[in-house]
Amino acid sequence: MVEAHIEVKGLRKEYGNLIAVDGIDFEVRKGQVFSLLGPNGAGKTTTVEILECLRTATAGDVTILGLDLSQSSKIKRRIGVLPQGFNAFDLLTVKENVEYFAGMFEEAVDTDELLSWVKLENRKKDLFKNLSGGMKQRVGIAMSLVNDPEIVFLDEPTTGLDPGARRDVWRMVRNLRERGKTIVLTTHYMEEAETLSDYICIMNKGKIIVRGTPREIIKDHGGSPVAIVRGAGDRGLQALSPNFPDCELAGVDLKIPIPNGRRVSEILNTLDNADVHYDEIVIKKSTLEDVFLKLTGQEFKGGEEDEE
Amino acid sequence: MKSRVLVDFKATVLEFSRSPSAIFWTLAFPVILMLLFGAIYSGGGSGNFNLYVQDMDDSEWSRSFLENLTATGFVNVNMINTSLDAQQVITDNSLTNFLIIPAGFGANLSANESAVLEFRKDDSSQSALALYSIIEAVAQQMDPGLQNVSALISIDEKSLVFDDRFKFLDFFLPGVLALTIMNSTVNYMVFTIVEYRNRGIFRKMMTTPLKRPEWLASRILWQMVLGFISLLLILGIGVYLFDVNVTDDLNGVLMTIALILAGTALFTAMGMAVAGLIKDEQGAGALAGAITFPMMFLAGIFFPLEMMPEYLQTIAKVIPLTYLADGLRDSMIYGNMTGAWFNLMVVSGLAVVFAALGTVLTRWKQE
Repeated sequence: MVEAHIEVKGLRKEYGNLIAVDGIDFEVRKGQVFSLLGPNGAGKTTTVEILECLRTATAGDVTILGLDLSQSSKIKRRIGVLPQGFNAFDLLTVKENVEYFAGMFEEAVDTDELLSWVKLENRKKDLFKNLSGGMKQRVGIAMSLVNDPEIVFLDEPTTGLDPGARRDVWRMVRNLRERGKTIVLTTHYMEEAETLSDYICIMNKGKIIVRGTPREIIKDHGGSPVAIVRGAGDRGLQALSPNFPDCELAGVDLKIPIPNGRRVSEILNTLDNADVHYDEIVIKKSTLEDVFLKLTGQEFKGGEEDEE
Repeated sequence: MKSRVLVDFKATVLEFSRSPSAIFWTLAFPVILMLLFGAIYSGGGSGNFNLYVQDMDDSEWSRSFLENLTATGFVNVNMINTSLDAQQVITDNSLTNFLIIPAGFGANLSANESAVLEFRKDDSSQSALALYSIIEAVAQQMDPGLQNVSALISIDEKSLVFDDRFKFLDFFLPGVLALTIMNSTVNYMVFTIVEYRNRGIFRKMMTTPLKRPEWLASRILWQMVLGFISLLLILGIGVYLFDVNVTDDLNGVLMTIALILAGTALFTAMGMAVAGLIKDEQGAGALAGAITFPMMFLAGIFFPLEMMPEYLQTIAKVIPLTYLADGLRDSMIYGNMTGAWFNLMVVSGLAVVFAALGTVLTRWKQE
C-alpha cells in the first residue's frame, strides 16, 4: 500500500459557538490528487489551512509527512501552498515575486525554469498588478513550487477564472501529478473535482458526507442516468408513463430516469411505435452535483465570484 | 544561508521605488515644507513681524539695538521719520506695533542709568506678544548691567548670540524631520499591514519559513534608512539654502541618530497598533490620519508650544511627537544634551509601550 502523506483524525475547529470543522477523518496517499469538495462555508478552507499550519485546530490529530503539526517549520519547508484568493506584491514583477518566495527557503528550484513551466517566460518583467487573473494564478502556482514541495495545497485555484484559464490550471495539476507530487485541492466546482481527482471527500457543514473515487461516489450515490427527450410533450408522456412511471414533463421536455437494467432503445422504440415527434434525445449521466443534491437535499452553490 | 530579512528588505525597497505616492510623502513632502517655510522665513532681515520704529535718540546704543533686533530674523524694522507725531502716524496708517526709542536712551545706558523703551502695541494682535518678548530679549542681551555680570562668568557667553536662537528655521528644521518620520512611518505601517492582510499576502508569507520578527525587522530597517535619507535632504536644504545653524558636535550627532532610530521604532509600533485595531483599509487610513494630523499641529512643529494657550500646551505634553521634535531640536540645534536625553528616554519608553500594544493587536497567525 502506498504511504500516507497526510493523516487526519477527529479534526475539529470551533470559532466560539460556530463549528467550522466537526470531527473529520481522512487520509491522503502519496502521489494522489485529493479533493475536498463542498459549497462555501463547508469547512474546506479551514481544514486545509490547519494542514498548512496557518490555523490551529481545536482538537484532533494531524500528521503531515510523518510530522506532527507542532513541527510547523519543518512542515512548511516540505509543502507548497496556493492560498485561497491568492495575491502577491503588486509592485514587484513576476520574476521578483517568485524570487522573493524562493528566497524564503534555504533551498529553492530555478525560478526561470519554473516560470517557463507555468508559461510566463515572456511576462517575467511585468508587474504583478498588470497581469490577468489567470496569469496571477499561474504566478501563484509557480510560487507554491519554489521549494520543490512533496505536497502541494491548491485552495480554490480556479475560482473566478474564465474557462480557458481554468483549463490551464487543470493541465498544470495533471502535470504535477505525473511528476509524483501529492496534491490537495479544494474546490466548489463539481466538474473540476470529477475530472482531476483520484479521491474526493465531499464536505457539508463541517462534516465529510461522502468519500471515494469520483466513479465510486457517482455509482453509489448518483442514481440512474436520465434521458431527456426534448419537444416530446404530452403525447410522449402518455406513451412512456406505463413503462417508465418516474417519467416527468418539464415544459415540452420529458425527463426519464433510466433504471438499472433498462435500455435507452426501449424509450426510442416506445416513442416510435406511438409515432411521437421529438427534437432530440440527450442522455445525461449522473454527476457529483446530483450526488450532492441527493445527499443533502440542497442545491449546490458555488462562490459568489463564480462567473460561469 | 540566505537571509530572509535581506530578501524582504530588497522587496521593500523595490516596492517603495515604484510607488509615487510613497516617494512623495516621504521625500518630496519634507522638501516642499522646508523650501516653502524657508522662503517665507528667511532672507536677510525680512522678518515676519513688522515693527515701526521712531529713533528719537539716534545714538550708538539705539542704532546697535535696532541692528540686533533686525538680526533676530524675526522682525522687519521700518523706520519712521522723527519729525512726525507718533500718534498721528499710528492713526493715519493703522499701525499695530510701534517702538519709540526716547532721546537720552544711549546716554543713560552709558552712564549706567535706567533707560526706557516705549512699545505701543495692539493687545488684540498676536504679533504684539511675540514682538514684545523679542524686544525684551534683545534689550536684555545688550543691557550693560547684565553684560558685565556675564562677562564675569565666562567669555563664551557673548558668542551665544540671540539672533541664531531666534531664527524660525532653526526651530522648524528638527520639527520637519520629526514630522516626516511620523507621517512616513505611521502611514507606511498602517497601509502596508492592512493591504498585506486584506490581500492575503501575509497568508502567503505564513506558508513559508519567514517569521514575523524577520518581516518586521526588514520593514523597520527600511523606515530607519528613510529617516536618514529625510535627515540628509532636510539638512541639505536647511543648511545650504537657508543657513540653519546645526550643531556638528559629535554628541549631538550621535544623539540625533539615536532619536531618529527611537522615533522610527515608536511610530512603527504605533502604525502596527492602528492597523491591528482597524481591519479595513479606509477605516485604518482614517484613524492614521486622525492620529497624525492633530499631532502635526499640536506638537509644536510649526510654531513654538509657548505660543499656544495653556490647555493646548497640556495636550502637547501627552503627544509623542512633541518629545521627538523637542529631542531633535535639543540635539541638532540647541546642543542641550540633558534635554535630549530626557526626550530620548520618553520616546524609547513610548516605543516599548506601543510595540507591546502593536504585537498584541496584530497577531500574524489567524485564530
